Amino acid sequence: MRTIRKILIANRGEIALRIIRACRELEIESVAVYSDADRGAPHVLAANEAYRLGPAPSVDSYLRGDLVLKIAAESGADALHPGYGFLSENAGFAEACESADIKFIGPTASAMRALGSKTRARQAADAVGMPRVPGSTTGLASLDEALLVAAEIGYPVMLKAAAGGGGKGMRAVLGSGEMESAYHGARSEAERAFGSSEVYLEKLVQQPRHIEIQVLADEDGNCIHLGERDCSVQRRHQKVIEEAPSPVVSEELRQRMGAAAVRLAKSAGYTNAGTVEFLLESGANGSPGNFYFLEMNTRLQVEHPVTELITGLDLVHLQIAIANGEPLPFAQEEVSLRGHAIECRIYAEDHENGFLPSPGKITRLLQPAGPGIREDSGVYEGWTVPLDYDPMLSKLIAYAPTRALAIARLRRALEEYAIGGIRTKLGLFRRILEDPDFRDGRLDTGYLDRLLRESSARAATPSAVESRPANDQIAALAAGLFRKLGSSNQNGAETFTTPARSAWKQAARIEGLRS
Amino acid sequence: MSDSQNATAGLQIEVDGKLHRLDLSRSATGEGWLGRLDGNPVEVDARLTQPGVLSLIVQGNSYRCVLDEGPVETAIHTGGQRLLITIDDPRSLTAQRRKQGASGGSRSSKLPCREGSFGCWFKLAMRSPHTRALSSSKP
Repeated sequence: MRTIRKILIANRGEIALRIIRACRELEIESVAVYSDADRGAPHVLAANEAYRLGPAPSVDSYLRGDLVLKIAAESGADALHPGYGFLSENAGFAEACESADIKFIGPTASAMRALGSKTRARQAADAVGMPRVPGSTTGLASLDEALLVAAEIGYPVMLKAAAGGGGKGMRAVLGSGEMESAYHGARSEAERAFGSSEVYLEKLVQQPRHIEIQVLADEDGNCIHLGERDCSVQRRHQKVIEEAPSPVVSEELRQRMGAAAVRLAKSAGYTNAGTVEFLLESGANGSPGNFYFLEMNTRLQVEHPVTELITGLDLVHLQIAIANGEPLPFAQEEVSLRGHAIECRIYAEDHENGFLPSPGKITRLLQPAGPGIREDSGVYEGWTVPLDYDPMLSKLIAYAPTRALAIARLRRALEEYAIGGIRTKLGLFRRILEDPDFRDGRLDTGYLDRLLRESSARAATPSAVESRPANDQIAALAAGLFRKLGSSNQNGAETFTTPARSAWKQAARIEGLRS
Repeated sequence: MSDSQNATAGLQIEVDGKLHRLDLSRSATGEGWLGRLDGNPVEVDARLTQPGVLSLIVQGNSYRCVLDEGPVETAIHTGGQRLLITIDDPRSLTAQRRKQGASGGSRSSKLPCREGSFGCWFKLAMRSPHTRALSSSKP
């Protein structure tokens, strides 16, 4: 058994901070790396040591495996946590860590290669008899082959990048006439995003739920699952809200899906934390139908906190323990799920304007707290959200004994939450949580698109008569009062900066009066 | 209390595209605010609890209003909503110019200079009520 004393965190944002916190709790030294855009980032402030990687673009900083390893060696780190994204699923980098005698906190390079590629993972699923979505198990060699496979399994089909993730390199193909442009489009997008143009084809499952199983495996061959997460609320294949447990998965189905996930992980000699993703068909009367293997994510997931909350486990602590060579401290039958957790991914995006990124300075930040609320954040008031990276600001998670109470807590927390200076998706989450379909758990991967389409019609519907003044009246009063009282904020906004506060405006007005 | 705080405000406030008319003045005791919102009488107790955060009590109902001033827009967060705000003060020069619709042509302005700071002179070009360009000249 090895003893990890110092961990380099090869990431940024909330996940870097999350891992640094775990290091502190375990009395392990933490080493942060940062780009020029992140010199003042929270993870740099929180770590014991911090070293510059390079300029802001990821390719010059967080994706520079050679620099990261050099810093790890020079700082004396004996392990490296990759977080998610960036280098986390790069088998070559994991291998380089092994060669440099720096423990990669994640699966081995060989397990990553076996399960990280979607086509290889589909082959592995076949080998263990796991149901998967019908389609090819190897990359498509040509457009003709794509047409042939599609004709065999029947339209609609989905083209997917073998090295893909995050919805990139994916195209839905409804008929043979759409295949040519979709095939070339998916290949070129995959090449740009992942450096590999390999695409494969699978049957498009209509309106499925996205259910994923968290697995943990130690280096002694023990592998367990920690139940499921329901990530059906998505936009363009990007998860927006995640919850655990799923509102529709029964204990019997959970154990069947969990056993299948464990079988797959074991077949590849998988170690550490990983997630096996499934599509769950909707059966008769909205009850769950068949499930199909989708892919495996060979890393810690963004949405891991919902599993932590319902299991009472700390997944990062467990990851470090496994990397230390320790056996899993519990058996499958000792895992119990309690309560319900829901997570919102808070992004600096303008959901009312095509989800455009909204980088910029956070001028105001009021964060929620109170019973059952956890926030994994990577920002602070005064922080400038850079344009160079994924614009996720934080993850807001509510936990409660029941799903209904978790929704209520999340709604309350969203009311407390205020982020100023940039646009965020807070308003979208409020809308989702008020939606009857969401509240009743009637979800599938097309749910959010439908809600967004219907939102304008719903917004036009008059709300119930209330005895309290409407929010717009209160906002009007507040606006007038801010103008009278001053806001103690001198951002220069015309509407609120009083003449006495703005010497610039005062001078301009004096000049205006003289002319 | 300054005169400006005592004076009655006559403001046109657009909230998420909906226009409100607000007249507001300090109450006689100076403890709160009295006025009319869209013609209806209103009594407000207001406290600035921290910069940009206003506590309002209206008819016994309590509200937290958070000012969100960005470079291109101003909003107020209240009741779990973010509402875009623009204010038109009929007494302001900007509003008067807007009403007149005149561009006014090019206008020079002496900018404020604090003691010990750079002695700065800028030309403020008023191309339109909405568009201004700054150009610098030698001190």
